[in-house]
Amino acid sequence: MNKAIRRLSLILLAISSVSANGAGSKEIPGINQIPKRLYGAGMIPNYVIMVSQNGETIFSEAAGYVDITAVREVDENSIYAIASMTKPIVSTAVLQLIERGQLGLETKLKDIFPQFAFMMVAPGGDMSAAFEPAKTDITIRHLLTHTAGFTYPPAVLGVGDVAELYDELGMMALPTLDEFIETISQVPLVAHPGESFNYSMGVDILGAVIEKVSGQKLSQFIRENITGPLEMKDTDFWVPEEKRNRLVHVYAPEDINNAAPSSLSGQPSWKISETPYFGIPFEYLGRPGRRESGGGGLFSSASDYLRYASAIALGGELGGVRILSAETVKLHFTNLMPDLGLEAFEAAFGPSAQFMQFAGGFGIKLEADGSGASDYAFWGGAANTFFWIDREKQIAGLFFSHISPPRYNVIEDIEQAVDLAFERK
Amino acid sequence: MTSALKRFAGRYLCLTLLLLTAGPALGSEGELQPFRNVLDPILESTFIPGYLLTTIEDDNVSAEAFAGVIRDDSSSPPSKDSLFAITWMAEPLVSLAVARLVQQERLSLDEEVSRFFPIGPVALDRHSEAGGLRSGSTVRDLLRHTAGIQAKAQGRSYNGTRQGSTSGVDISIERLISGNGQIFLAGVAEDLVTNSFGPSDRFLYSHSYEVLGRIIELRTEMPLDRALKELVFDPLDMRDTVFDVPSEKQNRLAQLYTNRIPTYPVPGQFRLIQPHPALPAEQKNIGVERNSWKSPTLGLLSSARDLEKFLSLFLKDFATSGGGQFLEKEIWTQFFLTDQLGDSFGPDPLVGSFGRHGENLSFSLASAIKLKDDGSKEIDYIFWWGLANTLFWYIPDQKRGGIVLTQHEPAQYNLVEELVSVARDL
Repeated sequence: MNKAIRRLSLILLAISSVSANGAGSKEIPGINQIPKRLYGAGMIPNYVIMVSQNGETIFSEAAGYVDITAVREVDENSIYAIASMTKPIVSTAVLQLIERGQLGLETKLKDIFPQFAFMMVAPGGDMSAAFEPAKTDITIRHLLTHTAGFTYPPAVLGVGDVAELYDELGMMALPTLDEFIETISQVPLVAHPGESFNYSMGVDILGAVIEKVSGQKLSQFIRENITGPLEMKDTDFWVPEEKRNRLVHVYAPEDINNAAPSSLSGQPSWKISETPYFGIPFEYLGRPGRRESGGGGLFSSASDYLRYASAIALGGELGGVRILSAETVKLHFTNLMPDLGLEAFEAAFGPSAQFMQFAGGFGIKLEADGSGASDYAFWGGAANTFFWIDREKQIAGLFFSHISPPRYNVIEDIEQAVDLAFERK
Repeated sequence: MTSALKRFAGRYLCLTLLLLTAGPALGSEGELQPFRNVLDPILESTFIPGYLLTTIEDDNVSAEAFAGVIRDDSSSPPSKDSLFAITWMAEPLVSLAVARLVQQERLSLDEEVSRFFPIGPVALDRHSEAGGLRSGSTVRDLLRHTAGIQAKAQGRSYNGTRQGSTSGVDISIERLISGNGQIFLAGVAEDLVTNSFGPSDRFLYSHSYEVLGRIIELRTEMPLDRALKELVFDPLDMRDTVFDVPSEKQNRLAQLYTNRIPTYPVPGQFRLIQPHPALPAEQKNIGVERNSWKSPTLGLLSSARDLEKFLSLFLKDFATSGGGQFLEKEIWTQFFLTDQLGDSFGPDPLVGSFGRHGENLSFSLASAIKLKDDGSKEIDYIFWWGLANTLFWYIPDQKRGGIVLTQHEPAQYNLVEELVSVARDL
């Protein structure tokens, strides 16, 4: 291909790089306004927006590239590292075990893993203060609601010296669930179980609980009970070789040491450059062999995750396949630690988390009028993937991009655009 | 009102409050708005704490804008007397000092660097065994970054790690706070001896201005802070450009921030900056604790008012406000407005150090040069920036200059091309 033809083809590809699902697509004014602006300014490498109602996709739009240095576009089947968006799926798996009577909300962790029988607490994560014996045993309820007293390393909002210790122990990268359980059980909690919200690796522990109780690998349990039945073909803890061309590269804002690449013809002027994902270069990203992290290890596509979110929005069933009873699904939307109050969540995530609380695996955005009414359920991942569920309207939606750490959580704006579109109807 | 409309009203209110933090401005709204269109999105996304913009034309300040906050404990934007760490942006000031020494015939551009460090304080034993520093590198090479010193990672990267070249020593706020200048210079000297690139082979942005600082000290027989004061700051009446901020001026320090990287899974906009962790708690910036290492590429603080005086030199053909001639035309033209790389260092010589940001750039003996896009090799504008996102530019054919100051490491927001484009069209 000569240079001129190649240039023309690049331009044509670039022009066509924003693709919307035309047939049956609902008119939602402003839904892509912010993502489009961010992409046009070269601040995100790509985006996928999808919205469903009653299980049917009513909006789908994708723009940008799997790899900005190559002309390969993203679409709704592109595979993203969904990081903490793994947590809702693992929480659903826990609810399945509860529904089957294999677990209870009040089941004590020490009854599954005796290593957690005698936990110490370093209040506020302060290792220089006197440790206190934990006042109560850790339960499944605590683990589902991030109130067990565990934390994360500092880069994921970890608390105090204990968070530093998580880092030093390489808690995020311990290769097996056994090693992880052994290690985390020997580190002090940052708060007494049930007393405060601390975003944590508790859902990783739930992953181990699922394995112990079910007798299956976490990936196998999820495949048999959630992703398989819902036909989420591209959701797993690793990405098979034949799908790697759909695995989206991870980016960070450029800086003096890591300048953005030159833009190909027709592309935005990039302000981002490729970055290792939590220290993992792309070459090793999604390869088998790592611990199946219930708190953040899954890879998925927008179309897959929308199926999961739609199933939850519809009360546990999608297309005639039920993964949870309507009664059990309610736990996903119920504040399981009501005594903590709204300030607990805000204390962890800052002022923007006002009028939010945490239910059984999902965050809950409340109406800002103080009525306590639920607006939507949500969660997000560390590489800038986010979703929401409006149970009342049976709407699910998501916004995927790949910037780590995440800078652009715009589902509030997208959800608002969807809301307005339905209110106009 | 529907819930969605209520939320919209809430957002509108938030935006209104944000814009209220903008300070008084000089220049018409029509003139300022295009600049704000470049800077405000970064501020509104909380990627920077605040900013100060000032432009100069015909020796007058033609536009000023102030926005955001100067410190966590203040609701005011930075002012022209606020003190900013200008880091690498001090390099042209160091160059001015060298130019003065050249004009006074106390230093020659062709003097070899090895002459200053035969067994000097920066030479290690192995350097002596190797016969001193690499011969051939000259003062000119140091000024234009062709001395062969390894390019290094410069400060923090966005994700908290240091990427890019990992060999040799790096330079960072952390090193300034806790490091030892003597050891640092020894590392740079080691580069000069051991690196695989000969002098004048290629442009490598590096720490050569640290070596120049030491040369100034050796030639003037004064500590660097005193030498710069006598050679540059006093003649230009730059009273606030210092390594050590006197206690009575410390309330004017802008707070130094860096990126805040924890992940947030909840919707909404979060503050994406935090006070720089290298600084002791409650310390707003460098220059508070007296540091024996006067790092010419990292340690200087300055104000917009002072930097305007530096920029005014260009508008007045390097005459001082007192009527004297700071530098002769031949000298300042050679130092600031002459492409010192030409075609001798390959096409786009700065790309190797700055990636795509180095495209179509060259270097003088003091700062970067943007060449005109028409292939004429004429200068479009000159500029330089700093580790904490401070920058200046000067457009020779329009005799217009500008300064933007904020305080956020890493150097991340290269807006000079957009800002110059706005300035040109005023």
